[in-house]
Amino acid sequence: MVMNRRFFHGLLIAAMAMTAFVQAPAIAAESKEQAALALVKNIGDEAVKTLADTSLSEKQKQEHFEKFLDNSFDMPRIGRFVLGQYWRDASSEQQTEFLKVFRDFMVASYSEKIGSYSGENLEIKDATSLNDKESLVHSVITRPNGPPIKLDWRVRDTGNGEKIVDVIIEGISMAQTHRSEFASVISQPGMGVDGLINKLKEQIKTASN
Amino acid sequence: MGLRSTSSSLKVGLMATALLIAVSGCATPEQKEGKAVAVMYNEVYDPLEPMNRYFFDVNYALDALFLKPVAEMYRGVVPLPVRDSVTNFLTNLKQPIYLINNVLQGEIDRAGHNMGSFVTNTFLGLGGLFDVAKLNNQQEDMGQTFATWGVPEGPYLVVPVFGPRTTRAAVGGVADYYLDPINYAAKENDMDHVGLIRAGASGIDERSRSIDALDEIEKNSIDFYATVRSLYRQNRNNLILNGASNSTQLPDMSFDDDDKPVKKN
Repeated sequence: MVMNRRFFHGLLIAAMAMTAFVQAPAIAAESKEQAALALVKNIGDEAVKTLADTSLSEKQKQEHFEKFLDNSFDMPRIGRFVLGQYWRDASSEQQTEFLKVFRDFMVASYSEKIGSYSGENLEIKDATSLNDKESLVHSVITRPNGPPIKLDWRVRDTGNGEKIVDVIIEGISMAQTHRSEFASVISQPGMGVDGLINKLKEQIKTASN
Repeated sequence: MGLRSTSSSLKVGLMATALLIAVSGCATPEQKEGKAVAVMYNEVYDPLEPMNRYFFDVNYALDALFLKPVAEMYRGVVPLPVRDSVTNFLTNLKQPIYLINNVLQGEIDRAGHNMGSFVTNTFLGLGGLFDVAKLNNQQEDMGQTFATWGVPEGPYLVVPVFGPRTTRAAVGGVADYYLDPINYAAKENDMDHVGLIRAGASGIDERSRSIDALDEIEKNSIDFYATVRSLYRQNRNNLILNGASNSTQLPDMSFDDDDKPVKKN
């Protein structure tokens, strides 16, 4: 009888503990996805507003874009990811230098697209959870001419607020594309991480001319 | 005549399939030591890279000399509505082979959409010149069908003239050619050049719509070959999954300095 009672109590406590366990992450997950949605929504509104604002010069828009990149993207994490297996082998000077050059490379590659804005809009759909820290925000770029483009944002809770770690366009991850490309450059004979850094610097120079 | 060509086509198709299995059999990636290597290995399997780079350059030169100028001229001279009709017409001709592949993949609803598009656009859209059905059916090919059957993708290839392919997609492309009812219909009516004309028209049509995008990618990449290879493979995976969000395929970005490993759900 005593055994039975104990067992029953144990079961009760276990059940209570389990519900508490299950509930806590569920609440956290929901707020995490909400935060991710809010972040992307903000970015979308801001971007469209900036791009459509005819009173701003191209240069001003570019400054907005740089600020946006620095504030909303977890650039160090993305930089580390795109260096892949070579991150570990790189010296800390190389790592620092690469992160700086990679950020400038992103600015140079994407900022010139600013001028080609022609009435596109960002429509946020929903968010799914990837793991305890990350969620994927689904959105669609609607265009005045042409079919819509599927755009997913991988958002991570960095402990320093929600930050974007990857952008996935029609199933194509920008981070993975860059990682593939960089790995190919590094592995070429005589290149290495320094070779990659030099190539990126050249690219930045030609893009800014 | 029709029967003989059917059986010989079938033979070619079977041979292609056998070749695919043989190639993918030798090409099963071995697990190397260390997680990072395995991930990279999984990401880019390109054992023929020197040869592929060579043909990539050859194709680039061919494109610069022939395809791109023609595509640019076509885009410059032919007004957009006419070009749209050409695209619609060519897309409509692809619906039968899309349908076959959707059936082979067990995607019956999608096959129904292919049927609906083809019938509607052929009869109400003046032989496919106008997209009345507006179903936006996605490309389906034997490469994708093989993938859903579990055939591995095999090494990455750059095929002369045709461009990037996984081995699976290259063999699938041959199989598609011999399975395509449109090609049969053309052969039955002694229009032997239809296949070639169709391929040429599709090439110009597709190239004319990707001029800006490709220029952009080339300008912003420091290794154009590697970028195209990555874009091609990611796009193939996306097509195979029919655009479903592939969250399980996303790589880990947590890194070992973090508290918890990524939990996939």
